[in-house]
Amino acid sequence: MVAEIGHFALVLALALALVQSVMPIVGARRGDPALMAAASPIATAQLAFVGLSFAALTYAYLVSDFSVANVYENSHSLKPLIYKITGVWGNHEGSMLLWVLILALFGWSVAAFGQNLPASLKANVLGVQGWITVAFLGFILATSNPFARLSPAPFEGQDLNPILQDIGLAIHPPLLYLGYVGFSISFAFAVAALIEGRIDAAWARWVRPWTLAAWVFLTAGIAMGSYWAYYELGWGGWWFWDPVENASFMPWLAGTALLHSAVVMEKRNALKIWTVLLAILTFSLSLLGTFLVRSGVLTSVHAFATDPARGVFILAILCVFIGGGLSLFALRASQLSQGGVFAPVSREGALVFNNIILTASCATVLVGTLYPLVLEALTGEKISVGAPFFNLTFGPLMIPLMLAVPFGPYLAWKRGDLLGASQRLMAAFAAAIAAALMAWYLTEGGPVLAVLGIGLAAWLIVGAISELVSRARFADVGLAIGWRRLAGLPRSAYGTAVAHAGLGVMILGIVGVTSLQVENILVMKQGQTATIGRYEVTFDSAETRRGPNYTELVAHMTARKDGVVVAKMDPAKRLYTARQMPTTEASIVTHGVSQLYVTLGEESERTDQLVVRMFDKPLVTLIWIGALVMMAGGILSLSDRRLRVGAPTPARHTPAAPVAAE
Amino acid sequence: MLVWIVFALMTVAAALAVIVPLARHRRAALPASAHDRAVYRDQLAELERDRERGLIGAAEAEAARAEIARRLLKASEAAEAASPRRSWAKPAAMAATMAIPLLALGVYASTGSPDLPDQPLAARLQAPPDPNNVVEMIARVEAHLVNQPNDAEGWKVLAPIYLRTGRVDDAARAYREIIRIEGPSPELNEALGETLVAAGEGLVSEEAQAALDAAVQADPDRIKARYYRALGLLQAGRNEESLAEYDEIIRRSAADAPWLEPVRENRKRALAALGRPADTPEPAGLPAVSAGPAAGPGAADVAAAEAMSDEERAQMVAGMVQRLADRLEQNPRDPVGWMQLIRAYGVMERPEDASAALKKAEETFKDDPTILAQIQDAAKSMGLVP
Repeated sequence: MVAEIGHFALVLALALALVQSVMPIVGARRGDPALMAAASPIATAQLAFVGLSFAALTYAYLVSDFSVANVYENSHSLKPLIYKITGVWGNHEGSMLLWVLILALFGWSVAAFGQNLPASLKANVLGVQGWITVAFLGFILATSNPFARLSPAPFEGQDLNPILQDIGLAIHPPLLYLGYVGFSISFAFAVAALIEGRIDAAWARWVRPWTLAAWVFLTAGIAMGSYWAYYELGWGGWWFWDPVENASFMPWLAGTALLHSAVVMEKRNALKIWTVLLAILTFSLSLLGTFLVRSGVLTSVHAFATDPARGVFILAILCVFIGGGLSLFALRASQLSQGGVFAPVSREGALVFNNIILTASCATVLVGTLYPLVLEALTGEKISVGAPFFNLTFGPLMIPLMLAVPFGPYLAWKRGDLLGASQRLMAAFAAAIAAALMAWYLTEGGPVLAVLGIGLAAWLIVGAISELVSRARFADVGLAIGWRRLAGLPRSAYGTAVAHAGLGVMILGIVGVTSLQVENILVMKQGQTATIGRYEVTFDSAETRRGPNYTELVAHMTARKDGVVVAKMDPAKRLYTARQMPTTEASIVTHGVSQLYVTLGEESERTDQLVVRMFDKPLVTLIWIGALVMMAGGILSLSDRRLRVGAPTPARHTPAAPVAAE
Repeated sequence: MLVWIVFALMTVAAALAVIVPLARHRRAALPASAHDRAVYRDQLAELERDRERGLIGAAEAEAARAEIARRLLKASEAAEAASPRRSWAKPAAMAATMAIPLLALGVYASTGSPDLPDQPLAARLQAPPDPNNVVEMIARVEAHLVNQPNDAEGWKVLAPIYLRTGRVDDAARAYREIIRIEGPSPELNEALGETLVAAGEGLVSEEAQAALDAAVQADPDRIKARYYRALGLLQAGRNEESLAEYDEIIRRSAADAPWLEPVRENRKRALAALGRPADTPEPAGLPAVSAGPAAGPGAADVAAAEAMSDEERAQMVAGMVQRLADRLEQNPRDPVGWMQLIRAYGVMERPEDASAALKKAEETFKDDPTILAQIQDAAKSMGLVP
């Protein structure tokens, strides 16, 4: 009965979503307060029913109810409890349900926290959210019903894809979806503004925090996915330009652009139309990301949906929302009023520069991701666009952006002083040169990429910090007042600096691992010792072990550095018995911010002789630490709930820091 | 029935979520520009607070105030919204009350299965079992063993079923568990060794070899264990020991033991590996146990055939056919035997032998037309007689 209640709750949620997608919008057009006010309680009921449905599916997983087809296909009675729960969204149907649950959650939060929104804006936003919900619930019920039943029920399930049985997967999709779906709010606000033909003062004030929250989640989701692929897939890489990764990276790039343009809009009331367009594009890319992963076009671990019948539905959803959103934009954008004007060299100008590069690089990634798919669909020819393409196109686009990042916060709103900003960035520039020289010395004239990259990272980090310091004006006001000024800086200023520094930290990690990594693949006999980078690794013994639903071959190894034992390592190859699927369990030792990564290669028949891949990865963890720092910046900025007005610096010629701007 | 009551309550709740807010009396919403003005006034108030707390300098505060004032002025100029028309709340509420149940039931009728109860695994395992459902039996015993992994009887039930359903790895695990619980016995070690060889598709792993060694050591008459042990020795290149093991099997077997044929075949391979002539004399065996006709391959042969590679299986079949032919040589008045032999030769694509057998059979039964016709039919079915 529980399963059927979950099913019926989902159907009721669809009915409510239909009401929500029509009534408030009609109400807003007619100026009918009752119709508009009904949107919020409906959104709340929506969350209740979708939540009930999700709970019912989770229950079916927990009690191994194999009469539910989805449970039979993706669970196993012997699976550990945690993976019974994560198995709920470790498959196509369940993950779509999670998507809708998060959508309902966001819809509800607009309803709950949006009391100060103009009634018609709120009604329109919730109405647009209703459209998205209808599309997704319709998709689920028509093509991917998680509550389809089996009779007679099998006695044992087929188990979850073993590489998905991992704690990383437990958190990766929810975080990613919180990001994707969070952008639906910006989309709903943008479409609502287009429907109304005006942008309220509250518009930007609402869009920016939602975008920021979505961006923080998406950053976390991508970083988590990257780290998961790094340790679980056993290839030792952290980013593969795999279409599935690009699918989440594109909304991130567009979302980052949106974030910055929303700042301009909130503070300076400028770039309104562009922000609306970016909001539509960002959510479009989120939809594309969701479905690129789901449609089965992509052959990858994520493509758990391989039913072509779903493809048509997905295509229809994409056409309606992307095409519809852009058409509406084309029709109505001219009615929106233009915002304030600004000089090319100004904070606004810097943010426009940021937007141009981010959207261009996003377009690059889009081309590189979709071109092979389109080519294959049209001519049947299979090509693979891999790292070389992206390194050649994406890389050069990023370099001017990275060089420009520290300038942005130094420029004043409306009209900035580039020369003054450059002068105050001399310290950062000196630090960058020093770091590059030090890198050159330490790597004994090592790769040029490493030297330049480390210089760039130092430029970003020191540039971000020096901006905060210069705002405190220690030189002018003395140490004590300077400290007080520093402490009194708004949290959003810290947010900017921390996020930009995080970018530098990440680049340091990327440069470290791409240019300084040492790799070794060899056949090791028991007792043999191999040198890898700064470590010696000894293969002590191997044994076979049994886990709850797998058997594994474990190699016991000892890692030494200068003869001192650093760590015991146990890389393993697992065989998940239900699916007869092998997985690799890499053994990773973290040393400072560097890692030693050991994984077993192809199975050999004898356990005393193994193929071993070893990597010494200097600075590698900085990639994900950088992402965490960026997130921290986002959260800091999000916690700053002040109203924001960006005022131009009063026209005097001292290059005073624009504190008022924050 | 209960499920429909729950559905009805849920539907009512959903409808109420729409109707109740519609029924409430609402005053007209403020025009949007009023909201804008409220936001700007908030901003001015906040600016004032920031200035008092010294978060913002006087000059910057003044600039910001001017900026907000400009926006406020602009918002005030905006045209006010038209006066609201008559509310559509009532018709909307009625439409929603109709639409929600109809839509929900309509969709659910085509996708749901309201009569199907939940079937949590734990509850199903407590219900009386269906003895004809092998998968269910396995699941039940497995579930039992998860809770009581030390129940050797459970593993003993599972091991042969696993073998029969092709889950050889699991069968090997079951035997290991039994050995863990009950301690090793020659019988168990033999079974484990045989299963592991099957799991390795004919390859004798180190674990299998160890189990077989133990079985043979504890009970020298375990012929099957000896057979696989010899195979493993041969695979490991320990040819001398392998040959010794084959000789030992022959020494311990009756002269008419059914396994001697494949043993001799493998012994020849060991000899070949050692570079000795294939007709190196073998030791004397035990006297034949029975002179009577053996009725086709015994259970042991079938079991052995299952664990063999294709090549070995072909050899074994050839051995069995040869035995049948030898028997018919001595005791030709066996019509069923002849028909088997002819069919076997036909299947093995040995037409000359088949024709020869047919001739001998016709010779033997030339005065019995019924049997003759049957034999000729059999030959015809193999395409031997025009």
